[in-house]
Amino acid sequence: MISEHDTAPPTDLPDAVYAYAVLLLNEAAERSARELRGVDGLPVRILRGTGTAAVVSDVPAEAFTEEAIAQRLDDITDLERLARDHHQVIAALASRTAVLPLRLATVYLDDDSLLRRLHADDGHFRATLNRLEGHDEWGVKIYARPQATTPPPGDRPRSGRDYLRARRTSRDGHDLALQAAADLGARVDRTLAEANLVTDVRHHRPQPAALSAEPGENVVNAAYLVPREHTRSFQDRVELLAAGTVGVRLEITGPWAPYSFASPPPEQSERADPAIAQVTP
Amino acid sequence: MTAGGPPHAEVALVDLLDRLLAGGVVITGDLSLCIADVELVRISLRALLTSVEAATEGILT
Repeated sequence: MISEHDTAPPTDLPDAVYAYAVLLLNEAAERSARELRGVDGLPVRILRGTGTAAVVSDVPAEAFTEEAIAQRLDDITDLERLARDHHQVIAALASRTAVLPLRLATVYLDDDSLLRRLHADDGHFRATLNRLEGHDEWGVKIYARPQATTPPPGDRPRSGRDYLRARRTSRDGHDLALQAAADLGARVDRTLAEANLVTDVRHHRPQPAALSAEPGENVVNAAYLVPREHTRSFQDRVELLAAGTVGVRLEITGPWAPYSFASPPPEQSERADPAIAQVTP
Repeated sequence: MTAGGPPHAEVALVDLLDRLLAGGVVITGDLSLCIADVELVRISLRALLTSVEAATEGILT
């Protein structure tokens, strides 16, 4: 049995409770949680509710005030550290049990406050966890990669007309590649749904070129909820579709904890933000 | 991204932020009560873009 307070760090500061995820009460997950380190390298513990449990760290309250969080999110080094610390806990647990990841930087004043919230949302949390059980999230990103139509350096256009023609060809190639990438995205969605290889899909916003180390323009940034027994078929099917398409590059990422599927689709959610996640029609 | 840290199978920060900032369950916390999720995304993207610009300037100068 785990005492709720056996891993709390000794400290004079008033503590707050940083919550990573919600899961069903589960001994294996509890054991592995105790070995983890979370935000700022702090110990991780399980806070038991009635049917569900929260995975939390005790954090100094002053480090997680609204102002302090805003500051962390505004500094790339701090943001990355927080994001990776948060992710590390969730990824470790997701490999053992169904987890419901919480939004980055969800912080409570004390255990009781979080327990009240767990209790209030208990039915919803259980239903979602049951739905996510046995699934992984996989990312599929599709980039437009126009075929090189520009002449090699040194082979300069002989006239203004040549130059304009070359530019038009290059622009047309770009448009074709964008279209090919979007078409491939639609084909992947349709094929996976028809073959019953995925349970759900979300479309994130394409990633800005400045943030991506990948060549080409990101056109499709999709997340699929895939039953674990279909993992291999899912990958094979997606790669097969990509292999038959010219002018695009496709990248699969994962497995991820089901971050993109923790909330209901935007149109069913009261706090929908259509600019962030779109559901495939 | 040129993320620091261990090179083995580390997820790209940009992929992680897609999920951490737009995904996950939003339940009301006590301390981050006023940080609307949209605001959160905006703040973080600004941080990312600023860092990318800084890195690019570093290469060019």
